[in-house]
Amino acid sequence: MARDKEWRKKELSLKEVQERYPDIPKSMILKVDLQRRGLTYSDAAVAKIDPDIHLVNAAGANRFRVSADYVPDGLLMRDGSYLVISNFDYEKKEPERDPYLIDVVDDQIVIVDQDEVVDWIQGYWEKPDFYNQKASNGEPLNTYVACRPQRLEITINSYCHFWDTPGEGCKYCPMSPNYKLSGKTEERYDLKYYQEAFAEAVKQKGRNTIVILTGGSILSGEEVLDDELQVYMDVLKMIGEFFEPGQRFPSQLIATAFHERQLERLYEETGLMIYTPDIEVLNKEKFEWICPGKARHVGYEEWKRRIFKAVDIFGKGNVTTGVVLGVEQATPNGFPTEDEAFRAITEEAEHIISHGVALAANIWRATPRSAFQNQNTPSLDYYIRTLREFDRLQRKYISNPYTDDYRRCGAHVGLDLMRTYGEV
Amino acid sequence: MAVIGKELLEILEDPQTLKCIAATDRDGIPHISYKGTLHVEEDVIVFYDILQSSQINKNLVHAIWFEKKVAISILSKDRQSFHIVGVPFKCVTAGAYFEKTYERLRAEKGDVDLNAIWYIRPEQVRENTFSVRKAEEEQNYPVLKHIDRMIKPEFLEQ
Ligand code: SF4
Repeated sequence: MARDKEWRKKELSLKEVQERYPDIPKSMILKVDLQRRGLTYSDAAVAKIDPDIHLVNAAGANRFRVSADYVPDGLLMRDGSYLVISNFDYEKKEPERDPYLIDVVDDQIVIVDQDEVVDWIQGYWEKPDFYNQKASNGEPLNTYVACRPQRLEITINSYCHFWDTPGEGCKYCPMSPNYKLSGKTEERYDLKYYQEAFAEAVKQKGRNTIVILTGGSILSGEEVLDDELQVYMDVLKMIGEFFEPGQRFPSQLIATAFHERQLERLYEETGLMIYTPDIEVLNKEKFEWICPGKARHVGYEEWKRRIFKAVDIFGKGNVTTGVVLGVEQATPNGFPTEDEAFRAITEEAEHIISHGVALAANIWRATPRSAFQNQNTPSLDYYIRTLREFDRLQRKYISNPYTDDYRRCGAHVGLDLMRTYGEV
Repeated sequence: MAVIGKELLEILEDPQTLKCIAATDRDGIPHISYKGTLHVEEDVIVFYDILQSSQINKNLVHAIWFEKKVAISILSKDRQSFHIVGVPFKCVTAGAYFEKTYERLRAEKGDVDLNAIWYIRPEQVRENTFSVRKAEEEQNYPVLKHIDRMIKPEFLEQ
């Protein structure tokens, strides 16, 4: 889809949305819009990047992009939260909407839209000490363990096997096409290198609060997903060696939806704390169209049933599920209006949240090399209206806010709102 | 921005001084918490939140999001008290400076964590010591009192 130069006239502006929802922090609305519209850097803002200090184009974090642009992986906002921006591809020549500009005014890094400073930020994410070190095979340790400001991140499989059958990969996801384009031949690495990287990473005091495991789906095994389960369990057991025996450690696994026998093994045999099987689309019919691989191998209702089973095993508050908010309106089979989409997905959201499962909503951006790369994303108003409703439901049903929060993630801006939930 | 005077700066540095901060949550419920680490850096009030789940942190997040004010009360060892109204404008949760502070606090205080470093811009500073407030009141509102305090003594004795 060619860029619509008139887009500003067709939707509410940042300020109008901020005025419309006075109970939602202006800074959060801005963060959503930064993810939705993307951003570029002025020369002065680029000059503020010090590659010895900042996380710039870190290899491990870039499974959603292949360009080697010289950009920070994320922003440190002034409210102490983080903003993931590295999974958006800046190569896109014709973004659907004008991106924001990161600039410098009076030595302060600021966010600018149409020549107006809309806020200032603390700066760019800093690099952990272990990024300067190498594994025993000479490769940089960040090949194996990536990071965000307070989290360590291990992406196990950089290829997703839903793509084995043409047309079955999730339509918004560029991970497997990027893997193929990268020329890599190994989907994952030897456990020993993850161990070496993790051992160095945890030496840094005051930095890490959680370790996250994720990666593409692996369908093989005696039963479907058995191999994926095994791969994650091997890594979790390796990490468990760093803690007292039998101790659960701050950890999250974002994986395919395992059935109960697999979940029981995962819970019993490892110290994993939080399990996140991403349902991605909150509507059966749209899920089947957008995530055909997930639909064929697991199915929408079964995916949900497995999420709820996981709550029985891991406990309320320890299971979340991700959604790619906005894809439900992709053309031609998505909801034709924002009102219809809002009604359908918030009703489904209530069903899921009422089981104690928080929704970690990513803001959909039509990413290059994904099947949806030429689509347009919904308005800022739609995102805020929906995230506000998710928050209302989460406050109603979930008392434990210590799961997929702003600090352990930085991508799911809606969950920032959990920062002010009362103590449990 | 209000300026914190030399006298108050010295009081803030005294380890025997009591310092507390009050902020409301998203439902408007106030919370007051004593913060021994509260101090001043370049005219800005700074304190370290050393509990990961603290209510005051949630309320300060609410304040920074919605540009709400917070109140700080200071009581010196000789019972001089000060009242500060301020606006939280920055919260640091990561980075080299955060980690250095985390290590320093653990060296000083033992097994504590560091949740956030908060920066509050003071907008109003006033001394609240009883004798000072009473003198102020007498000067500014000389008739704001019960009449019996103003009546000539001979009429009270009848
Ligand atoms: S399951 Fe879907 S979203 Fe996840 S990696 Fe595979 S294709 Fe991408």
